[in-house]
Amino acid sequence: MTFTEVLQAAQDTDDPEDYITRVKRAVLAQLEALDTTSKVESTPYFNHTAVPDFVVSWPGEARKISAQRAVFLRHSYHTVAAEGDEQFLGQTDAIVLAIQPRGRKRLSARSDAQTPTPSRLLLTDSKAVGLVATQDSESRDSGGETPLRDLVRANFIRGARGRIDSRRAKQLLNLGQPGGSEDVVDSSGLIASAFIEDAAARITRTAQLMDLASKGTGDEEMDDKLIGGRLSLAEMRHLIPWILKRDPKTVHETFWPYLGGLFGFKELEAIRADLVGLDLTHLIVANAERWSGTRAYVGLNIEEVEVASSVSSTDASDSNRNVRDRANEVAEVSVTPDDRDGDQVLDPEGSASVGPEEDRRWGFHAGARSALSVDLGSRRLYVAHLGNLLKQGRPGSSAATWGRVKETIGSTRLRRVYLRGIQSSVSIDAEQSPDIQGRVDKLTASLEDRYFVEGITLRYENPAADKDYSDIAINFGEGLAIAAETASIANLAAAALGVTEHRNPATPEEVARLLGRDSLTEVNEDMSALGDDISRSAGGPEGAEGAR
Amino acid sequence: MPDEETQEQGRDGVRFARRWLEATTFIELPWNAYENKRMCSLPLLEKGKTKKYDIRGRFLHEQKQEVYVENKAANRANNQTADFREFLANAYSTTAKAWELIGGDPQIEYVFVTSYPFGTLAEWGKLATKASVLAAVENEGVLPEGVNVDEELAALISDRSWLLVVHPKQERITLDQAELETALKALERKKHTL
Repeated sequence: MTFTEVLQAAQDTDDPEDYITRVKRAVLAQLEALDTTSKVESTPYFNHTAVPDFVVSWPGEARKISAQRAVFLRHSYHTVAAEGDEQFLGQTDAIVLAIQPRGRKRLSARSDAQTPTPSRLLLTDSKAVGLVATQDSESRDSGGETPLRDLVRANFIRGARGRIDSRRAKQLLNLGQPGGSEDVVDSSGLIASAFIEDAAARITRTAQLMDLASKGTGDEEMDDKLIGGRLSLAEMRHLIPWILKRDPKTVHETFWPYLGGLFGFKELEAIRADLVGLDLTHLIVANAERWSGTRAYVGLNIEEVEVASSVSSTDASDSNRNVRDRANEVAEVSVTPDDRDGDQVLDPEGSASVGPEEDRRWGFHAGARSALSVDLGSRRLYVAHLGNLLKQGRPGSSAATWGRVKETIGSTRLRRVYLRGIQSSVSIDAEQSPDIQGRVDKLTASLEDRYFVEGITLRYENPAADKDYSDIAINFGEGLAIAAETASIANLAAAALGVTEHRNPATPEEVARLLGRDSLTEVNEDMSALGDDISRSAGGPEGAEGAR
Repeated sequence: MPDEETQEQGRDGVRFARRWLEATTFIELPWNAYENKRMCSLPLLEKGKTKKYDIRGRFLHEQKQEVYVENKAANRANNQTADFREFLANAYSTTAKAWELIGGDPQIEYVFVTSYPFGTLAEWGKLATKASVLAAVENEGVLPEGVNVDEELAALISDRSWLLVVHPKQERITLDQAELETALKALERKKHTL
């Protein structure tokens, strides 16, 4: 039953109160279904010249297009024309809804000339609303429902304007559809005339991004037209899954870093429920240095462990060794400093090296550990922005000895370390000593003791982020890498796989390959520059280490 | 005058009457004969006959009485004297019929809205008196055979019949949509039915 038919049935009574109750109930249900974020309140009036039938509001929306929108019901376009609603309500942003779509012609003849443009008033009818509200089940099942159609639907009550009858509604719904009457990018005129500014900008931006996905950035004329800014969560929910479901070969490599500039990892994580099971590798790899998280953890890749147990252990280790060898070979390719810019990461060969293999596939899983993850052999690396997603790691992990941890740190700078021995403890801060590692080595060598690492903070270079560096504390007890503030996904991955996993650390090359790069050479090179920074910032008295 | 034009003019008159009456804040008129013929029709005493009014709604006073509006978009007196006589006769007939059907007073109010006065100056004050209703009932022949006129009902109809003359310029001093919405919110006329 269409919405118009539902209303026809509701109108089939001679009792005025019954008529009003039934019609208003049907409209209210349809409005609420069309925009689930809205709150629709019915007024005690029906078809009144001045008082709306409904007031729609959007509670909990920080950025509203309009705080509320009034909805006036009219029997048909005949009434709308006769009442002069376009004239009397022309300066408002109300919605005038014709219960029956008849009399449209009368409207055109009488009121076009009087309609002040651009008006924010929306004049529509039950047939058009029904069309917009109906999800095309066929195209949805085949994945053909475009993010544009979703956006037209989601923004209709809040942001549509002008006269939108069923013919116009179809045009809007067909935007970006295969065989649609309008070219997606050239349709900005249609979108602008059918939606108020904010909504039009959002829909146009999605149309542009859909287009950009296949064409890539770099076309100056096109780039000038791009609407920048940050994507809202609602926009992301419509757009990101659609892009991720496309064949990656049809997505231009310059698109991924561009997309990554329109939102952060925090926002991506917020819509993770919509992304479960999708391959995020291209998106993460392109933005691993720009996007930041707060925690990382390495757990077991349950599926892999189960597979491995059915294969002989020799085979498994062989395959691990193969991966490592391959990574080492690639790492020998020299990388010039200039290559560190996005192009290097995103050139077609670089992207190809990520590959479609099941491990090295970044994504969100459903279940208790819903943080972003990627598999590396029998291990699964988790990275989160929301700390609660990785609140607990592996309780009761055994203590880490300084001797072993020291090897995993490599050239990464120490920021803070607290060692506990049987007889004494050592605590050194970079504020107190520019050369912590030297101090620790000297101390631990001079005292006959076995030291366990109680706490350690490493400082990672973070060239792509606003802040040049980020401090990451390693909690060996839980197996967690925790950023002091935030750290890039790349740094968190390096800390978790390289240091937290001190018993069996991943090689820098393995970490680099997870991030779609040939090696971590560039990161290592950056470390030397960082040393100067620490020296400069640590002006305090040397050596406040205590022994007890 | 071609039919369509007449209808157009009639509709415009209905629109104005409705906007003006609703702007008093004392009436709501959601039904009109062009869209809701059934809703705007009342059965007459004469078997099987109904009277279709232009607009229907209710007062927003305490009793929320039903109101049926007959609108005359006249620009000259025409035969409005006869029209008004018929209006009174129909008011009597429809109330009598409704009383019969529901077994009680239907408490319907009848409003005749015109934009042009009619009749002689001497008649003006007597157009809707009890005597006029009785005369109209007799003159229009609304009573079925063997039924006598009810004087009390005639007095009641006189009391419930409104003759309002409105000048088109009235629209300029009518509350606009935003003002009326604000006023009605503040006045809470429909509070009791919420």
